[in-house]
Amino acid sequence: MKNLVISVPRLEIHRPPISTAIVAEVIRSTGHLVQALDLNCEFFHYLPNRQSYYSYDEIWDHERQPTFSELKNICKFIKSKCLPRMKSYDRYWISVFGGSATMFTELLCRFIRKYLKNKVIVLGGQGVNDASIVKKEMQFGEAMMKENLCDLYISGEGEHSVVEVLKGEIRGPGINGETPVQIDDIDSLPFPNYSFYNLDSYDYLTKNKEVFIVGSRGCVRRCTYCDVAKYWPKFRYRSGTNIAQEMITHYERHGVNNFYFTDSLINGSMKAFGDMCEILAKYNQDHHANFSWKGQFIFRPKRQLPKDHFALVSAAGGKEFYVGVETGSDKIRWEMDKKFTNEDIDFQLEEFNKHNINVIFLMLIGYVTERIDDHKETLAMFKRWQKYVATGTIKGIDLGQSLRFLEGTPLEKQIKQHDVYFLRSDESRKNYISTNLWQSKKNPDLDVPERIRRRIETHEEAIKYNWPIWRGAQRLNVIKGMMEKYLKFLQGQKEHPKKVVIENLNFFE
Amino acid sequence: MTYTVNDKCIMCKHTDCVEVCPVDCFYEGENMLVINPDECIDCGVCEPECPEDAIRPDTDNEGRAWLDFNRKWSTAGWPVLTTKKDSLDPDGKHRDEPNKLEKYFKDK
Repeated sequence: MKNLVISVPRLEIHRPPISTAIVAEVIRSTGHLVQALDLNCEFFHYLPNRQSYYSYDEIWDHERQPTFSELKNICKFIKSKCLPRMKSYDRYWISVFGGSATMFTELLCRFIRKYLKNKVIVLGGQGVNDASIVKKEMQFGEAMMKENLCDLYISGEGEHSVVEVLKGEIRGPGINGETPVQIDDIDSLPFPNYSFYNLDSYDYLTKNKEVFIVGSRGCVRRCTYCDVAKYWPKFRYRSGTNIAQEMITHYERHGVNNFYFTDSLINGSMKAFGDMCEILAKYNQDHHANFSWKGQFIFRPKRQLPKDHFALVSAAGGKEFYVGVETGSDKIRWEMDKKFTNEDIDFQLEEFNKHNINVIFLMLIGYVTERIDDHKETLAMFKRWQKYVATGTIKGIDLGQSLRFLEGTPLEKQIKQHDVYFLRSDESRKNYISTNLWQSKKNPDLDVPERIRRRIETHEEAIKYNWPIWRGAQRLNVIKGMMEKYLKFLQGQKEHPKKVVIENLNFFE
Repeated sequence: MTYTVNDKCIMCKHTDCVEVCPVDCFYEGENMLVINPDECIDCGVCEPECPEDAIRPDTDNEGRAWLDFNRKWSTAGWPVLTTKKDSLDPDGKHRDEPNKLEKYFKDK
């Protein structure tokens, strides 16, 4: 049986897809014939330009229906460009990366059923657990089975389930709705194999080819607002040697020396991180590989860091880190369970500066316990670390969205403790808690308008001190306009905001 | 690199640390905990949880001094502890008491 592993729009186009590179390698390593096809990349090249490609995002994200001509174009693409390349294979493994991949997947499967007879369709990826577009009460995978648009669907980590399906199993963990089992030993999994792709066809952000890499699954931390543990209850990690070996393999096979870690934290396990850096630094020195990698990073207390740690990180190719600084207030950061202070940031910024490592701050304005003095500390941060903006060490700041009480987070369990109530019930979401229109009776000053005000003030302060902020002044004007609209709306209400169902005012969404 | 538990834990054993450990590397003796240095991934999450400041990284002298002790008792058959229990010293009577190792340590 000839297998074809397929990725579909919408994925990002700056790097080849990692999930299908893994699945294809799992299939190959068990002795089956396999090829991979990235229809997202094909679609990118099918359209006349980038703008045209990105114009479909609202469709993939279910924010609007396609126009007739757009739908015609998608169908033409499937019929003329996809099916001819698929017809010689017997079994299709379609990676449904998330909700934004469900629409294309459904269309593709309808075309397969109509034009390519006797083919087996297996769906996998996070999107199979998304709500179905047509049958809202069902998950996407289940709904596709019911409609006979697929033969099997796999949820959770697919590496083991794929092998079971290859053996002919149609039952087992993760298959057709059965609860998946997390894989403990992720060191034993094969490396993604990018030989299945034409690596010259991606829209890289720099002149260098870049691929994703996964060093760990889950997170060692339990930051109160974060829902990573809901999806990855147990933290699993690869050894530093294994990660470094994968990077070296991609370099030696394809000349790839740029990597983007998808981990929640690349330095969650300092042991693995340190081992990886040592191997890469040595390899860089011996082979002039010029590795460069980036990912999410956590600042640590200074005493937890070994001597010369950042010199080693830099020598290994550590180049750009996204750090959840969240606030300028030590007190609030502690309540978020982040466990590092402004002094720790001082030390690490200085080290980054010394060793040419860039950092992007990720912020969360208006935490549930944030008082006005805490907010002032956030504003003071811009002056305090401005010198690192001037040197280019601080390469960006993302002020992000306002706080939400996401399902499965430690913060969700603290709703009573903070005496939080919500200003709207939102039928479009599974869980009303996801809204950012909330208020805490224990912190009454931090109502929605005040959170918006603080967000705007923070934005203005960032601009004042020349911090590189996404779309800077332009974005600020958009937010100001929305705030005005919201305040007018609130003023017009006679009822207490708690009773008001607020529509179309998803300020930060 | 690893973290180690020192004698400040003896007779206190608050166990806040075990709840946050992502790799379950705390082992429980009768009146103290130890860390298995080979299982610890050096994430550092447990360190600030300890109200007695009994957990230290082996990058400092104090932490390093307890490395062999932690290795020995974590591999001596003590059970793994993964969930928080009631503290042995809720009122802080043994806090900062000197020579706890000599006075109270039990090898079970």
